[in-house]
Amino acid sequence: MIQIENVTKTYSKSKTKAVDDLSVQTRDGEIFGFIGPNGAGKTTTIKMLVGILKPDSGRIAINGINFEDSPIELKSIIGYVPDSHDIYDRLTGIEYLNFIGDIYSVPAKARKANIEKYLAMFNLEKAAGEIIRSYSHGMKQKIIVAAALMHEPQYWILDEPMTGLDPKSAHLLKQEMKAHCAKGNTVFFSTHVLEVVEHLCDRIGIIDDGKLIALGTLGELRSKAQNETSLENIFFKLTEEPEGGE
Amino acid sequence: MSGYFTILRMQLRSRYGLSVIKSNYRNDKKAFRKQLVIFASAAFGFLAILGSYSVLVYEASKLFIGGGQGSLLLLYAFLAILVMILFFGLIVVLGTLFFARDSEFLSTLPVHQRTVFLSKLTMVYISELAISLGLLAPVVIIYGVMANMGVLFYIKAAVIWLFVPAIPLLIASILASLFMGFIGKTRHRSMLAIIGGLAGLVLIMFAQTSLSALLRNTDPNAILQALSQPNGLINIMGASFPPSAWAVNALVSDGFEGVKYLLGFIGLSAALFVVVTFIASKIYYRGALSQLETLKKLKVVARSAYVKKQRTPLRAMFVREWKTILRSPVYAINSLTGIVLGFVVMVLPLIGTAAMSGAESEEVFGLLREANQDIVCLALAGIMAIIGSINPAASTALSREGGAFWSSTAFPVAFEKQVQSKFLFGYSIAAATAFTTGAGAVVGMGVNPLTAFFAFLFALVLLVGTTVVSLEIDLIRPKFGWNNETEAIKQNMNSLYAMLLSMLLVALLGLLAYLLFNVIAQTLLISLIIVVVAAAFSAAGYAVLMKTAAGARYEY
Repeated sequence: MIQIENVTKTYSKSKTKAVDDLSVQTRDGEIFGFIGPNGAGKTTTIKMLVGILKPDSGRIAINGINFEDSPIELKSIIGYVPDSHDIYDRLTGIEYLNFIGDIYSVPAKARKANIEKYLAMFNLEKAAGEIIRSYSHGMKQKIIVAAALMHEPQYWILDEPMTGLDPKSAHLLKQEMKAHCAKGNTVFFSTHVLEVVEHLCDRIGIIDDGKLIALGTLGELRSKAQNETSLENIFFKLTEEPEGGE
Repeated sequence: MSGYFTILRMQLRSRYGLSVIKSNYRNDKKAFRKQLVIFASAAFGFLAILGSYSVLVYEASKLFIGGGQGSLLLLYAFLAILVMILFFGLIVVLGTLFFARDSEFLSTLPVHQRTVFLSKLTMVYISELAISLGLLAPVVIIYGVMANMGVLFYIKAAVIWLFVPAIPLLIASILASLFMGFIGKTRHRSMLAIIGGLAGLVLIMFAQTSLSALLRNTDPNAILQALSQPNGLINIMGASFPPSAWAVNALVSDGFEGVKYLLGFIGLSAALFVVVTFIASKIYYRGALSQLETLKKLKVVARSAYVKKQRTPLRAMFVREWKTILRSPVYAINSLTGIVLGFVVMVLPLIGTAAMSGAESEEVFGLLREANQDIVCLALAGIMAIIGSINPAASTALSREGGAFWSSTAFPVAFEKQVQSKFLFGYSIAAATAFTTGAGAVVGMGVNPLTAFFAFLFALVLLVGTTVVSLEIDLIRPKFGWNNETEAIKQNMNSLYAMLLSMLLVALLGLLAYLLFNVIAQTLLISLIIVVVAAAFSAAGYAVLMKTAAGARYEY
C-alpha cells in the first residue's frame, strides 16, 4: 500500500506550492492512474514517492516503510521509471541492465530470465550491445522500463511510461501492469493519455495546481462531474477554471 | 550576422547561467544571495591568487630590469600564456565545438555551419580572453610602472591582449577540425578522439620542449652579443613560439618597428582566422555530427552473454565510472591527461640533456643519485601528489552525473557508498598518475628505483587526502545542470578549487618538512613525521567526507 498523507512540497526557486496538502492511499493489487495538466504536480509527487525529493511536510510510506527510517529497504521494493532519459548513456543496453542488476543485487538466474524477457518484449535484442546514447527516444524509454522492472519490484512507480513506446510495446507493457497487479502488487503511474487511464486503471487521481481535486473509480468520477461519460470530459470539467474565477 | 549574434548570446546565457541569475534576482532572493556569496568567495580566492602572482611578478621584474633584460619578463608571460592557451585550448575546443549536446539542435537551424562554429569559438575566445587578462595585466602594469613606460605602451598592451588568444586558439581549432573531420567517418572515433587528443597534448609539450632545448644549442657568442644589447634576448628566447616575441617587440619597440610587429601579430591572427573559417565552412558538421551517428555494424549480444559477472553495488558503480570516462573523449582527455603527462614531464629533461655532452648529462643525473635519498623521496612524493591531484576526476565526480544523478538517488544504495565508489575512481586515476610520474622520474631523471618506490607509497597516502578534498568540494557544490560534457568537467570551477587546495595541502606539508629540517637532523625521521601527518589528515578527511555524504541534500 502506498500512503501519501498531507504532503506539501515547495521548490526553493518558487513560492508556489508544487504539491499542496496531498493525500492519496492506493490499495494492494490496484493500478492507480495519476493525471493532471502540465505542471500540476504529478512528477513532483512521484519524485517524492521514490525518494528523490523530500516533502516539506506530511508523510509518505510504502508497504508501511518510510524514507526517514529505512530508505534502502524502501527503494529496493520500488521500480521507478523517470520522466526524463537522463541515465548512464555511455553504457551499452546490456551493461546498463547488468549495472541495475548489480545495484539491486538481482541473482544471476532471475537476472538472465528478466533480461531475456524484457529485451524480447521490447524488441531490443539486436540493440542491446550498443551504447544507449545511440538509441532512439523510444528505445531509451524501453531500456529504462526494462531496467526498472528487472528486479521484480512489488511497487511500480512510473512517470509517463508509455511516452515514446510503439503501439505493440505499449500494449505489452499494459498487459504486464495488469498481470503485476493481479498478483496483489501495485502500479502507480502518471500519464497524459486519458484512454489508457480509462481502460487500465482501477482508480484515478486528478491533480491540479498541486491539489488533489478528484479521486476514485471512473464511475465515482463520472458522478462527481455530473455524469460526463468520457474521462476526457470529466478531466476538462474538473480541471477547468470556473467562470470569472482566479 | 544576426544568426551569429543570436547563437552567441544564447550560448553565453546558457554557459554563465545569466538567465538563472536574472530569474533568481527577480523571484528567489535567497538563491540570488547564495549565488552572490559563491561569487564573492570565488572573487576573494581569485584576488588572493592574483595578489601572490603580482608579488612574484614584482620580484622578478626587479631582477630582470636590473639585468637590463626587463622585457624578458614580458616574453615569459606571453610565452606561458600562448602555450597554455594552445595546450588547454585544444581540450576546450574539442569539448565545446565537437562534443557538445546542442550540436544536433543547432544543425537544424537555418544558419550556415560556419556561423555555428564561429559563435561557439567566440564563446571559447571570450573565456580565454578573461584568463589572459588575469595573467597578463599584472605583468604589463608592474613592468610598465617600473620601466616608466608611456601611455602608448598601455594602449598597445590592450590591443595585443585582445588578440592574445587568437593565434593559439585558432591553431588548436585547425588541428581539432582537421582531426575530427578525419576521424568523423571512422568506426572507432570515440576511442580515436581520446587517443588523438592525448597524443596531441603530448606532442605540443614535446615540440615546445624540443624547441627550448634547441635554443640551448645556440652559439654562445650570439647569446653574449644579445646580452650586450638591451632586451636582446627576446628573439632568441622567443624562437620557441615566435608570436610571443612579436608581441613583446610590438610592445617595447618604438615607432614603425613596434607597429610592424603589432601588424605581424594581428596579421597572422587574421590569416589563421581565414583558414579556420574556410575549414569550418567545409567540414565542421562532419566532425561535430558524426558523434551522433552509429556507423558500427550492430553488435548483437548472444543470449548466453546477457548476464555479466555479478558485482557488488560498490564495484558496479566503480566500473561504471571507468566505462563512462573511457567512452567520453572529453572526460577521458581531461581526466587521463595527468597519467600520460606525469611520465612525459619527468622524461622531458632527457630532451634537454640530449643536447649536452655525456659528461654533462652524467653530472646532472649524478646530482640526484648522490643527494640525500630521503629528501629526494619526499620531494618526488610531493611532485607525484601534485601531478596526481590536478586531474578533475574526483572534483567533478558528482557534477558529471548531470541529470542521471536524480535517478541514482532512487537506487537502494546508501549515498555514502555511491561517494565511496567515486572516491575509489578518483583515487585510482591519481594513483596511476603517481605511478607513471615515478616511472618517468626513474627513466628520465635517473632517480633510484627504490627511492621512487617509497615516494610512490608516500604519495598514495597523500593522494587519499587530496582526493578527499577534491571530492568534498564537488559534494558541497555539485554542478548538475550543464549542456555539454566540457561544462561538467573543464569549465567547472570545482576542478580549479580542488587543484588549488590540493597544492596548498602539499605545500603545507613541504613547509612542515622545511621547518623540521631546521630542528631535526635525521631526514628519515622527518620523512616518517610527514607521512604520519599526511596519513592523519587523509584519515580525518575521509571521515569528514563520509559525514558530508551522510548529510548531503540536493535541491532538484
